[in-house]
Amino acid sequence: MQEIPTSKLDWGVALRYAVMVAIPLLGMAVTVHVGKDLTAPPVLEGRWKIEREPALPPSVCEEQLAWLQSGEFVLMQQGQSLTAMPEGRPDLALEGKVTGSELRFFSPLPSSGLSIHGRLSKIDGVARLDARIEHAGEAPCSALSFRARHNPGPEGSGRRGSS
Amino acid sequence: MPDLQLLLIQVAFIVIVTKTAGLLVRAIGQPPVVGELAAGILLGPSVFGALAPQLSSTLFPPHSLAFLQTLSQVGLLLFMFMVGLEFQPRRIRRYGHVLFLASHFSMALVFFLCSAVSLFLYPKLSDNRVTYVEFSLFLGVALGVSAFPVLARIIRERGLGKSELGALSIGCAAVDDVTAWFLLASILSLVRSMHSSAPIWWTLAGLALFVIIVLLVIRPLLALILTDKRWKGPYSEIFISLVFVLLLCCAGVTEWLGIHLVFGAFLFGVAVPRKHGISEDLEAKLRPVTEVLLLPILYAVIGLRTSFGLLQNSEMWLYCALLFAVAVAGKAGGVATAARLSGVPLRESAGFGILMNTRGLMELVIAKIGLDVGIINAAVFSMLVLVALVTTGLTSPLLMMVYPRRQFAGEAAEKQGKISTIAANA
Repeated sequence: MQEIPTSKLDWGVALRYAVMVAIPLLGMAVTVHVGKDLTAPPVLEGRWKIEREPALPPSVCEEQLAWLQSGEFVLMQQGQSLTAMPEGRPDLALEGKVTGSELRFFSPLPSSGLSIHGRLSKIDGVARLDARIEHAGEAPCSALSFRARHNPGPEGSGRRGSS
Repeated sequence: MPDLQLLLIQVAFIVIVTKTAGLLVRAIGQPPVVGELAAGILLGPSVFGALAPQLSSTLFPPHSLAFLQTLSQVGLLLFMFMVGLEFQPRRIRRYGHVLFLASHFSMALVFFLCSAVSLFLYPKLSDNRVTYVEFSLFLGVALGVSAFPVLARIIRERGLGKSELGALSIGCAAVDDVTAWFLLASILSLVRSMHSSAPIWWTLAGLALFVIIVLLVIRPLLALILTDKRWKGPYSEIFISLVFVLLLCCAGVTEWLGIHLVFGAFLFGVAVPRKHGISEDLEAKLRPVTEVLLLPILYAVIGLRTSFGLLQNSEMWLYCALLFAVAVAGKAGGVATAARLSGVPLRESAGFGILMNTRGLMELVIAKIGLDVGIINAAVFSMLVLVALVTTGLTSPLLMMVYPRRQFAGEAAEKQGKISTIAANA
C-alpha cells in the first residue's frame, strides 16, 4: 500500500502549487476579459399597464378580449424566460422569451392558441411594448394591437431586494 | 406583529417534516442533511404548494414568511459560528501541501469553468442589473465550496475519521471554508461597490481592519480571559454571554460593511480560542437548538423559495445539467487531479475528490445570499439547490463504489498503525 507523503516545504511543491493554481486563474482572467462586455436581457419584471384602441374588430376571441380587458398584466422574469399573466387570471398565463428587443409569448396549454408578439422600446426612460395578440384557434380571430407601459415597482428598478 | 400561533404551528410542522425525512434517508445510508434539505423542498411550491395549494397558502401565507426568514437568519448565524468553531489549524499541518493545492486548484478550476459557461448562461439566465463578472464569480464561489459539517458527518458515520482519506478531506474542507468565505466577502464587496456610491477599497479596507481586530485583538483578549480558571467555573455563563455579544457584534459589523453577517459569525468562530474545551462547550450548548430547531427553518425557507416549476422547459434543465457538470468536473476532478499529482494513491485521490464534491448546506447558504442580494434569480437559485442536493446525495454511494466498506475498514486500521508509527518517530 502506497503512503500519502506528509508536508515538506520545498521548491517543487511551491512551483507545482503556483503553476497549477495560476493556469486556471489565467484562463479565468482571459474568459472574463472576453465576456466583460456581454449584455443580459433588460429588466422586464413587474406590472405592465395596457393601453389599447377603444374600437375592436368584429372577430375577436374571448381569450384575447379577457387579456386586454384586464387593463394590466404581471410579467415574471428569469433571465430570458418570461411569464405574462393578466391580473387575477392565471388560466391565461403565457410563457415567453425576450431576444434583443423582441418578445414572444405562447400559451403553455395545448388547447389554447393564444400568443403575443411584441417589440420593446424606451420612451423617457420607461419601457414600452408594442405588441399584437393573436389566437390561432378554430374560429377566425383577428390579431389585436396594443401597447403596454412598464411599471417595475420598488424592486424592479434596482437590484432584486437586499439581504 | 407576527401571528404567534401560526409561527408556532409552522415551526413545529417544519421540524417534524425535516427530522422525519432525515431519519428516513439515514435508513438508506444517506446523511440526514440530504433528507432535511429535500424536506425543505417538499414544503415549498414545487411539491406541497403544487399538491395542496390551499393548505400550503394557509400554512405558509406570504406575510408570515418574513418571520421565518428572520428566524432562519439567526439559525444561519449560529450555524456559521459553529462551522468557524470546528476549524482546527492542526488538521491542515500534516498534509498542508496536498490540502492547499487540492483546495485552491479545484476552486480555481471551478472559477475558470464557471466563467466559461457563463459566457453562454449569463445572457440566458440573468438580466442587466447584474454584470457578467458578478454572475460568473458568484457561480464560481457557490459551486466551488465544500460542506465541511456534512463532510465531517459522512466521514464520522463511515468510520473514516482516523484514516488518511478522512484527515485529508477534513483538512481540505477547512481550507476550502476559509478560502470560500473570504472570496464571497470579496465578491460581495465588489457587487456592493458597483451598485453604491461607496468605493470598493472602502469595503475591503473595512474588511481587512475587521479581520485584524478579530484575530489580533479579540482572540488574544479571549485567550487572556480564559487563563483565569474562574471562567470555567462560576463565571462561565458570563463568559458565554460575552462570546454571544461579540458574535452578534461581529455579524453586525460585516452586515454593515455589506459582506453579510455569515462572514462575521464564521470568522469569530475561527477566532474563539481552543482552550479549556471552550469551543466544545459552546458547540455542545448551541448544537441542539441550532440543528433541531433553527436549521430546519432555514431548510424550509430555502425550500419555500425553490421552485422547480421555474425550470419549465428542457432548455432550463440543460442549463442545470451544465452547472452540475461544471461543479463535479471542477471540484471532484480538480481535487482528485491535484491529489494524484501530489503523490496520493489513485483510490485515495478518487475518494478525496468524491468527498470534496459534497456541497450540502454551504452551497445553499451562498446561493441564498446571492438570491437575497440579487446576483441570481429564483431559477438559478433552484438550479443551485438541485446541484447541492444531488452532489451531496451522490457522495455516499460513489464513495462506497470507490472505497467499499470492507476495504477502507482494513486500510484504516493499517494506516492508523502507520500514522501512529510516523507520529511516534517524529
